[in-house]
Amino acid sequence: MAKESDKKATAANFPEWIIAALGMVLLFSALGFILYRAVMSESRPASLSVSVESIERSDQGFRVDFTVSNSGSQTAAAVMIEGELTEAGRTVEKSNASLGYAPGNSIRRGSIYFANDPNLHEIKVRAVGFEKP
Amino acid sequence: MTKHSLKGDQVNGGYGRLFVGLAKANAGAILFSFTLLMTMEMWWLGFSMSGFRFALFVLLTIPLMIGLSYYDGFEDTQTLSEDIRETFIAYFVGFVIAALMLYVFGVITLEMSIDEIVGKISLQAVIAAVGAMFTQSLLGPNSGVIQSAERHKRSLHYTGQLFLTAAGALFLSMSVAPTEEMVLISFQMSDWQILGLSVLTIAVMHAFIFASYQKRRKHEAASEASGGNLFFRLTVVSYTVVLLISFYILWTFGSIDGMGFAEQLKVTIVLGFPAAVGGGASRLII
Repeated sequence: MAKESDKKATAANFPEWIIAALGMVLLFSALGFILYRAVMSESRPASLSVSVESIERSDQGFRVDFTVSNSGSQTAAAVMIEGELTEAGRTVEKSNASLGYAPGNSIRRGSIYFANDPNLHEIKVRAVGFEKP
Repeated sequence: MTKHSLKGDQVNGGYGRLFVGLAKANAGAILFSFTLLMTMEMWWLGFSMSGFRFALFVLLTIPLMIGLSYYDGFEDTQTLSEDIRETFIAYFVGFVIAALMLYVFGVITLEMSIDEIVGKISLQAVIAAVGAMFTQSLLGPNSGVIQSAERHKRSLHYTGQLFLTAAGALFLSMSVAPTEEMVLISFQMSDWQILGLSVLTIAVMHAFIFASYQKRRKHEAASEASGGNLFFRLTVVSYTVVLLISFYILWTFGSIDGMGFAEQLKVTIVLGFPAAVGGGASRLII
């Protein structure tokens, strides 16, 4: 069944070979990329920095949008974010948020609420801890 | 049967066959991978998994896929080069489906790092590709009794049986291994319950093996094993294969890192249960 139409089949199979070649390229580039990152990038522990993006008035007081950037190569899980409003060294209000994951070399966004207006106080938002996945 | 008439179809020619094959592969990729595409542990593994274990896993799926194409697959293959072609078509389908679905689900966004995007897509793509390869047994016109005689004979041999068990076990265990429940269940179980589960697993495996043996008894290639012989030659060996596969998957996903050996063994036996069902079922279906 196959032999009689071998030559015809080869010609008809041309588009199949193109798709297979695309699949091969995709697979091996992904594999190469993963291996390259595994070999080249020394494993740096997660290093988190939080920056305040914007402060907006909302129904529940004030919403502070922040971004967490992880400059390490390892992932931080269950990231605890703490926000603090201070006035001349005295704490006015504390609030916190948590992020499920902050993957290595990536940015994650979140928000935190305050009852007091952060514009009137000094605001500090930082990561207080995380879990190694 | 449909396939053979399509092959000879002058109008549709190779394209008709190609589209039928691709449609089936896409359907299979979605059918077998949507549970994982919608599992958050699986997204996280894409970027939190150790790079070397990830690469090894991807690499090992290549012979698995070629083997599956040989025994099963979504096209009737005659030569090794056809099996290789099938394999990479399945990977192509896997990548397309994984990238599309993860994007639609909002799991990947453009502001994520390239590491995260590639990691998330690749892991799911490989699994979707295996799903595409498994399709034939469920959706293919050659499934069950009308499977091509040659391929049917292949899958009856001892190595073929063990290979299909391993592939089925790998596939089903992958869909539950990344969840925290596996480890949690093993913590909840006493040593006696673990022992009971492993006896139960062997019983389930033997039931599958006996059923598939009954189904194939009339074929010459399968007649080499029978009765108690069947239990030791196939069930016990298959359970060993299933446990090895379970352990490998748990190690790959990092689920049992840092645990004592006894605890690792317990989780392996827990995961061995769904893996054994997968291994047994794949042999019955294919």
